[in-house]
Amino acid sequence: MLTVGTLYPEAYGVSVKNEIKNQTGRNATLSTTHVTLSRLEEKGFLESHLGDATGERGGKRKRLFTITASGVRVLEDARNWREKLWSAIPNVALPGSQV
Amino acid sequence: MKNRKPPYRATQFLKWFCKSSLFEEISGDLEEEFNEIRASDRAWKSNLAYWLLVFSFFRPYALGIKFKIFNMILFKNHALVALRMMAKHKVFTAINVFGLTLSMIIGLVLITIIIDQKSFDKFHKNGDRIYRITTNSKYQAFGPSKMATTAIPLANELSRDHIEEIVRIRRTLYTDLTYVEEDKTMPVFGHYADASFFKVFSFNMIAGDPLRALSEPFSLVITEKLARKIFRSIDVIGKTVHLEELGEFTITGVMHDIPRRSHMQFELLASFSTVEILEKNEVLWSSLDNWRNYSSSYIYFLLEEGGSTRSIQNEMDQIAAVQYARFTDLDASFRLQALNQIALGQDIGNQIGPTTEKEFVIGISILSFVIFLAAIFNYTNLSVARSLKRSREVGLRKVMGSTRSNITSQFVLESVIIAFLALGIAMMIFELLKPSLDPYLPNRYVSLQLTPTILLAFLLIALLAGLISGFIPAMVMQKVKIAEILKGNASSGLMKRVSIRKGVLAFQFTLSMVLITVAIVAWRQYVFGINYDTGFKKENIYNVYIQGNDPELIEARFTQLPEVEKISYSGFVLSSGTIQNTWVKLEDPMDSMLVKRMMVDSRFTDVHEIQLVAGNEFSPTGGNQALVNMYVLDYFKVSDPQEILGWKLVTSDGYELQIVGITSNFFTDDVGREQTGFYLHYSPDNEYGVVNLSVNYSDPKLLESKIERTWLDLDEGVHDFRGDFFIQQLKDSYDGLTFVMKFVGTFAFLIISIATLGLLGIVIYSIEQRTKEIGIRKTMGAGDFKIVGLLSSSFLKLVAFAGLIAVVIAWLVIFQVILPEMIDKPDIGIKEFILAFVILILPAFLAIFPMVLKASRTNPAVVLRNE
Repeated sequence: MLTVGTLYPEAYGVSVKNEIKNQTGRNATLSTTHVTLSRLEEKGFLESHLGDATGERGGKRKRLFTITASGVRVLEDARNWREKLWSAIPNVALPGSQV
Repeated sequence: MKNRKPPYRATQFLKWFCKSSLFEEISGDLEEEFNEIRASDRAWKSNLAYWLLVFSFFRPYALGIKFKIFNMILFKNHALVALRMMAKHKVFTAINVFGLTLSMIIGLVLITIIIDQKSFDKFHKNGDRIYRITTNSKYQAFGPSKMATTAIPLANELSRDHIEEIVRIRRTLYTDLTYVEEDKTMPVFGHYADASFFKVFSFNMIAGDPLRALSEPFSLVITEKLARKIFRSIDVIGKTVHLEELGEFTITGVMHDIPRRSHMQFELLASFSTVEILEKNEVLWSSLDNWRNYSSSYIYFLLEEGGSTRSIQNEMDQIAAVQYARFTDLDASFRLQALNQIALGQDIGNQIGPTTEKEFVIGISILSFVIFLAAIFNYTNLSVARSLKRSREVGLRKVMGSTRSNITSQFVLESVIIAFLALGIAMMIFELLKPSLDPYLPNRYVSLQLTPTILLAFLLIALLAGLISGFIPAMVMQKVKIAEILKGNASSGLMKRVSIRKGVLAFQFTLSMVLITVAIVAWRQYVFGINYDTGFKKENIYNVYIQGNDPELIEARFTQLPEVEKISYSGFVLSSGTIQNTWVKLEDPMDSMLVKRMMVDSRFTDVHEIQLVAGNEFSPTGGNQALVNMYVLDYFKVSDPQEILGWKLVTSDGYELQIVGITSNFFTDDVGREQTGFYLHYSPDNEYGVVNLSVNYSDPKLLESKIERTWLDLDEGVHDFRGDFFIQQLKDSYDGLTFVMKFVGTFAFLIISIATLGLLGIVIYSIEQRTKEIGIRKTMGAGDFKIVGLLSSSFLKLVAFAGLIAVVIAWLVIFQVILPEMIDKPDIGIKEFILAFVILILPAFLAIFPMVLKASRTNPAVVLRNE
């Protein structure tokens, strides 16, 4: 989901897959990305529409994804717990940490 | 860089399986990817990558199938757990898989045979309306017999109300065919058939008119293969060939080779109209008007559409009642047999071709089903035992909120995986084993081919097996009380299982015991039969089949061999399964008696050292003579052998022979069959089939090759050499017994394996249950030895209990059921049972002791650490 945010407004199958690879080093497959995006959409965290046709794709439109309001909320919640938990850890428990 | 298009076919494939609303975006993305790859890679690599990508989209998302999300994920989780479980308990898994695999292999063999046989004769267009008439007959005091052949006059008697076509087939044409123009001779095999043959059966003709080819006498229709063998062409209509002893025949048609899947196999058909002429000339035994001869011919017919078999049966019953009322010593009745019941059908005599008996198949099916059950029982036992170890896991899952169905599916999934694994291994082994199974096949026309139908059937069976054997442990686990489990008491509800386990083991042991004893009995019988004093000389005699060659030429050539001391002739090989019957009566008008006989020359009794009780051997100048055995005397109630000498024996096939001597009751048939009246038939016009060579040799192989070379020389390559040592021929006639031995022995071995595995599983489980106990005892000071004793005593009790039941039941089965069926009983006593018992128990011991030993050495510290 986060990648969808960073790629705004050109977040679609191929770009999301590439971005995940660049940012996290994980080798995502195109089909898995598609499926995940679709599932997130079903859960209501993303919404999509078909974009304009371009020559380089043989005239086929691409499906572009954007984050919905509830998607935003979910992301914020997740970020909040994380920060809370982090701040609750005493420094001693994290040897070598820069935080 | 030129923008190459992604592989067209791959995109088409995608278009086909993909949901249409998604196609555009997916294919667009794919094309973009393709271009990326293409930019930095070679053509074939990027094409391949594209194909792979397309395949990666072959999933529910693109296919439009909606799985409820939580099912999929949980399923994967269960599957992983199942696999991990299996890896962790390799021994258990191996045991289960082994047992299931064994039974599946047998099942595979069985089912392929059945399905193959069932597929026979399906190519006949009117197959469902074709029937054959069989005969049930009873002659005098002999038991009833069933034949696939019948009395020919019946065909003319039956009304045509319900019969569309009827075809008579007379057997058998087994003779030498000579194509005079090229001086080629070869043995051929076939039958005589009515012209209606091609109307009833769907055998196709390549050349000639199917409706008329078999009308004229002395016409011949041959198969394509035979045509090419003789003439090297199929353009042979009108050519003439000579059939040994039968005459000149004209080829009137060529037909397609007979498919393997046909119960009828032959190389040629002669017209039935020839039979009348041949019977008149006494070349063939009378059958056309002869109601007493129901062994020469078959009657098949095509039922009218909508015709009634019942009325035909009634008609046949009436005809039989009338015809056979005339005879006092013979009674017969007729039955119908449908075409699709023939290939895999009843055990009846005089079959037209190779068939598989239903009884045989049923017998094996039962055995393999039992083995299968045994394997499943084992599996269930072991699963239940093992799952109790996992009761903690189950308890935890329940607390976390697993529903009942989840737990069940966990177990079921695991056993299904095991079942499929077993199936996979079974199939591989099956393919490997196939060649070595050939000798066990019922006949050489059966093939062991795995068709898709069979595979599907087995997948279903494996699935079913997995489901069933998964449900039971699952149900046991349902009842597990969570609190108890987490506290560490694992064995609630298990006590009931123990007696079931004991019962299962006893059952398996009993089965094995019975099988082993049967195998031993068969073996005994075999040895007994081979060594029985048959009343004639068997050693140092070599028999060679004459196959139509000139006996004098044969004698001349063979006497030249230094190893050959004496020579005689006989109609067939004595006491090796072939028999010839005829009715005889003495001069005085009395009932006639059915006896066996063999045509021999005057030297036969000498060569085989057959003892004479009274009278003399055959004299070459004495005309028609007979040597009867003692049973004949008994039947005709003659007490003094001397009395019967000089009387005339009259046979139903027209011989009058003077009785010149009485022989002892030497063996004329398999040991184990009732021995009956028999006479040796001497007549100047005797026809011999075998030459008996009395030989003196040091190297059997050398002798055999010399004999074979002499034969090939005088036969001039027309026939294959057929001959063997007399002793070997006698042994071969016991083929049936050796087959039973090997067969039953194999099954016994299998069941013992499974039983022992089951026992092993129980042992392992019990030991694991008691590790704590063992640890405690050891710390309390019990020595290793004592532990061994303690553990093994419970197992020994189990084995002894099961073994005892097995012995008792096996004893009953052998003595009440099997031995009474046999005529010449071998001497079966305690010895054989003890042997069987040992064979049974030994593996069990070998399984138990290592485990027990290992257990007794456990380090108490390790075991009790967690308390």
